[in-house]
Amino acid sequence: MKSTIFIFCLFFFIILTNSLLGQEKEKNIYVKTQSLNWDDFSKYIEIENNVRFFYNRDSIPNIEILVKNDSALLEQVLKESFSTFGIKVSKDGRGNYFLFKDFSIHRDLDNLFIKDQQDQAAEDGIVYKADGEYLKTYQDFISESLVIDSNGSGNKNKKVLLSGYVTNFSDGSTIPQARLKINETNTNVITNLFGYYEIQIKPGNYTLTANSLGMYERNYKLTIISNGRLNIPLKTKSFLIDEAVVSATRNHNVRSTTMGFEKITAKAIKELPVVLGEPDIVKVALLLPGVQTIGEVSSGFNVRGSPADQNMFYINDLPIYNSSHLFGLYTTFNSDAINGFEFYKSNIPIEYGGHLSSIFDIEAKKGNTENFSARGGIGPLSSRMLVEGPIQKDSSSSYLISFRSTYSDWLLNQIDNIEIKNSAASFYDALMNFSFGLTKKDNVELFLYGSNDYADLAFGIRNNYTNLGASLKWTHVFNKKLISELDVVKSQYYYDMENYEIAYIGYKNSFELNHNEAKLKFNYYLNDKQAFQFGINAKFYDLNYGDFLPLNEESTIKPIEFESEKAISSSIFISDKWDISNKISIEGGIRATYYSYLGPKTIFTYEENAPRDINNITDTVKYGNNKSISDNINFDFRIAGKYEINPDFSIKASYNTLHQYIFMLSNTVSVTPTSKWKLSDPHLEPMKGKQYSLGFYKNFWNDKIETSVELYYKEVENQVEYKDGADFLTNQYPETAVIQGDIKAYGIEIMLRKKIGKINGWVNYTYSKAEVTALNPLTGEMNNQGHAYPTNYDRPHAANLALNYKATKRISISMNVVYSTGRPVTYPTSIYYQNGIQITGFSGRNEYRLPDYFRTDLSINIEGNLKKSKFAHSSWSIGFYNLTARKNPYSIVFQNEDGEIKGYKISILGTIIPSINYNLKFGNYEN
Amino acid sequence: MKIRNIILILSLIVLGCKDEFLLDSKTYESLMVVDGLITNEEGPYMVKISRSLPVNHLEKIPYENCIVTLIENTGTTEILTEIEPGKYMTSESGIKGVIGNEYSISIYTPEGKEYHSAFQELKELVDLDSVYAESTKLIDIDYPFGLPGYQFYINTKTAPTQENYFLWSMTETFEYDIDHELAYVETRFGDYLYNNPRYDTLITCWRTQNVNYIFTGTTSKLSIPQIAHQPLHFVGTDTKKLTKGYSALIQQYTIGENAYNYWQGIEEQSSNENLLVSSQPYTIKGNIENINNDEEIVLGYFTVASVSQKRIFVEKSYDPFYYNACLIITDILAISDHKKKFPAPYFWVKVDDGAFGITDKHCIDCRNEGGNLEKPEFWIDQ
Repeated sequence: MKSTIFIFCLFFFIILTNSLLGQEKEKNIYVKTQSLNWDDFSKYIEIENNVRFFYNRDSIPNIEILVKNDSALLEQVLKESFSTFGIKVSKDGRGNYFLFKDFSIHRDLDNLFIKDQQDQAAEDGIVYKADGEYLKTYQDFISESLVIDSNGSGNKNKKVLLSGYVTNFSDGSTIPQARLKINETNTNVITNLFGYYEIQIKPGNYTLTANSLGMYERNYKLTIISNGRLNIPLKTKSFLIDEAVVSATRNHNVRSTTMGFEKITAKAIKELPVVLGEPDIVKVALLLPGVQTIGEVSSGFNVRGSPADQNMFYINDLPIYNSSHLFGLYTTFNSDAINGFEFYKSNIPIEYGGHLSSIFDIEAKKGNTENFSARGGIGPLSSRMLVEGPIQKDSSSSYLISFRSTYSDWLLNQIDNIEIKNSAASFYDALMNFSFGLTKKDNVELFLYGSNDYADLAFGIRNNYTNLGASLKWTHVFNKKLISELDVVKSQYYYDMENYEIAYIGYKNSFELNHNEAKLKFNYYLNDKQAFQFGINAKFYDLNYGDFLPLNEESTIKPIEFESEKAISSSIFISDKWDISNKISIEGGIRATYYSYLGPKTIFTYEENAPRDINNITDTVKYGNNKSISDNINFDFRIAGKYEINPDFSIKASYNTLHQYIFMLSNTVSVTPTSKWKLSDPHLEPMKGKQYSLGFYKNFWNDKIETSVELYYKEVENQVEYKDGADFLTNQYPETAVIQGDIKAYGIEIMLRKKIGKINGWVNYTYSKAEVTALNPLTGEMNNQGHAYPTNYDRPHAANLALNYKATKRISISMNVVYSTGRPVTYPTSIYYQNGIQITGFSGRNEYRLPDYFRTDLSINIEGNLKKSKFAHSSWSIGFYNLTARKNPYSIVFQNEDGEIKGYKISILGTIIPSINYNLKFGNYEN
Repeated sequence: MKIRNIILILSLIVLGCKDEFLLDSKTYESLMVVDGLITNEEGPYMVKISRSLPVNHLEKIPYENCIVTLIENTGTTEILTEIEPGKYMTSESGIKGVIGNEYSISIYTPEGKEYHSAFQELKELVDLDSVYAESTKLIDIDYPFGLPGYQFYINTKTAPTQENYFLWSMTETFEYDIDHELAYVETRFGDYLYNNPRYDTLITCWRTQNVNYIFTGTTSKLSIPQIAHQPLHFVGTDTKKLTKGYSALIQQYTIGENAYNYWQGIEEQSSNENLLVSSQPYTIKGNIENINNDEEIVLGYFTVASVSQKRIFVEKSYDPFYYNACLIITDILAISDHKKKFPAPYFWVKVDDGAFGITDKHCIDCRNEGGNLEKPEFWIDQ
């Protein structure tokens, strides 16, 4: 208090001297774009501009002062920065600036201050004070004072209702699952799917904290008198404010029961370095622990020791069976049109069934309900375009349309070589998302998706593959406790291929997978401790293998007809999440699935306990259309528990079982888009998976640093493996080409993440093993002489670093470093001679390894003018893929050169690959 | 080498590259290898028994002192004679391959192990109809803009039955000269010898060798039992093979389905250069089994086949060549260094620009490149 009085004395002294010496002409001081905390800012400005600041250190928070424009008036900057703290700023015209927190004595000096409060009348008679402008700060300091009162007076002891919506400040969209907390009573409330909340509370003075994923926390000082409405707009953590890259809601990692879970926002995807100029969600996923890939040109990826077909991509509930463009160089999801994704690799939510390893749940962006906006980007291989806006002004309905296409065809044509010129490779993807806010309780979303790849590689193979799909989602809120969601989904994956390598056996073949699905689920919030989810889910699969046909007149191939296959799987599921106490939470679920393989179909019976071979067929039965050929009922379980030792440290454990009825048949080392899918049938049992995991989660520095250690052990039974040397292309008896084996996988994943600050990012390390055994002891069928062998993607040591450095307001630099053990390969280990020709003999399957993989990527994002009101906003991103130009072997090939076997490492992207991308956005440009 | 290199295009787009590395195989299991062939041609027939070798270990390990018996389904058997270590041969008057009959072998090793093969039918002969070559370019990661050369093709005659399985192998013969024309020889007395017959006879050689690739095909999936325009080997200008004249002897073996499956697997693994669809390599078992231990892996195949063969000649290539020629030293200082280090004679050759230079002794003797000086009897000058 003494110092305050001292300052006041000083203040009066200055005023006095000022008036005595006469008015000097006021000097305007401009400051340049920067962002410093108050301590540094004040020192810097004092030195630079010969001014002095007078304030009480105890009452002025050390907030970050953000100067957004190229230059701004110092006084204005200070006012904007401090107004929300109730701190007033004045100056004396001689370079002295005074900062005071609400102090009654100043009333006399009111004329010295400029009123900077923009009061805003809000709905239902509440007094609402907006915080004038953006403020860069650690959120806890912001606090707005409001009075909630619709009647002017109320009964002090009767509870009143505070309600409203939590919305996104920038586009007005509502935010579901936002958290609100009344700090004094420790009441926690979460908004419903439409962003609506209600709090019952006795009148009084409270502080309310609202936050949500990827948004700035907002604090209110509330004086609640009677019922009232408070809409809370939250600001996105956009580039105006440098914070969090990847974040789940605060404390999520420690407090929730979820394990093996990641939530990545669109912003995080864009902040990581990219290959060939395109941000890519799968490339981001590959930086997470437990996610591996075979190499640069492999479609799909591997999670915790499982093959790629045990992952499933959903975008707005639509399953996507082929997620890659150009054989895996790109993902079929344009990251401009994506809000983010949730990735489950351990305890997959009970509403999903049918994929053993992971669920990639992508959320497409909803259109802006306020304004039209457009954006686009031009990169070295592709360009993209997105438009969005309200369907009707002042309604909560919106549309969003995005399109991305390549011009690689044009590039190929520039190469002066006839074979290459005759090659073609192109792709596109498009999505449309229409959202209709029908009533306050109903929302309908229509989502359409398509992607296509065409490749003609002049050496004999022409491919054309397509995803097409639509999903319709109707969400209905019965009351604040019960919400329902109905999804109707139709997804198709289609390809055709033509092989003209050798004219007389030139052929064409096509494949079509239809996945139709309906899901009705309910979320029931019994109380703030318990929440249930239950529902029904039906999937109908229809796989058409096409015919094997001669390509043209030159080809003398005999056509082969393949039967199509159909199956239905119907499930019911229920789960319960229960916070038993502040420290203990449990979650359990059960999903029962009835699976039936349907006719028309010819089923062959093979001699018992003999290898499945056409020579061992004992009987042939033809089944009629939609006749159930075989069926089974299976139960999946999920159990998870959390024990919170203290608010920033918890232990979690989980166990789950799953069944999978559709799998990919592939005998190639890497996954290709032309692999065919196959349903579980009377010969092929559904795959069964189970996983145990245990995790430790600890946060430091007020949750700024998150750490976790997760251990898992996983088993897959009935894993479908190709028999050595088997052929599926012209095989009408697919069961003769495969063996069902087992996978055993285990690992430990260690993650450290800094979510906020100028430098943010994560580093992780994984140790893991995954082995397959393919042996049928009854029939004697086996691969690798029945011995266990490492999977093609078994990389025991893997470490990833993802770093983001916000150098200035406009320039950010990000970097990845990826290390992993080389993938296993089968080596030539011996030679022998046949008929005068040298032949290579191979080692046991995957007995050797490629050299270690190491890669560093760097990218620099340069934003244009940051003025928020600017009509268009542009940015450049410059990327360097594989900065150290290390030739990471993708594969090895062996060539016999005059009797000598030589090994060659083939590396793809084995050099530094620069790229430059230009992005342009019209209208609102957050995110 | 099949022309199936999707990946190459991708590599070109995305800057792939190929680097040699040292094969370092630590695990090597010495397995028994059987290499036998009975055909409809005149015998005698040979069965070679050996052990598999570590990679790039060229010295063969014969499996000696086995008792090898050839069995015909008519009941005739013949014990083969070991004419060289590990090489077992039928006698002149022994079993002759007859189309329609079935053959198998049994082997007793000195260790007392017993092996046998199942009976295989000697299939009806399908004749080669024609053999021809087309001038083309092969796109390869080393030659992204194409390596010129000849692609060889065959056509078969229409077979009398629907299901026919083929194995093709090629033996190539080519004529070549030493890299540089010898101008004169500088003797240790400082004399210059021109047109010395001792060296002039070493200029041109012919080399015959097996093409180290096999090719398979079948009519079982075709509507007409005839194979047309089946690509076989590609010979490029990355070697000297096409510098003067080239001939290939193509042998077509008509085999059974099981033998085809074996050879097709071998072909697949040896031409596995398409990374995108590279299949998983594995140990391919042959048709020889240990009677008492069916887990023992025996490599190789006892093949029963009817044979048809044709020879083709192609003229030299006029496209650019990409092989590495012998080094010529033209720099005066380097020549004097060379002379200090090595004794005479010195071999002076003419360089393209008319100057002269010294080359090594092995570069003026074509036999050092594997050929020999006698022109083969069948050779027709191109």
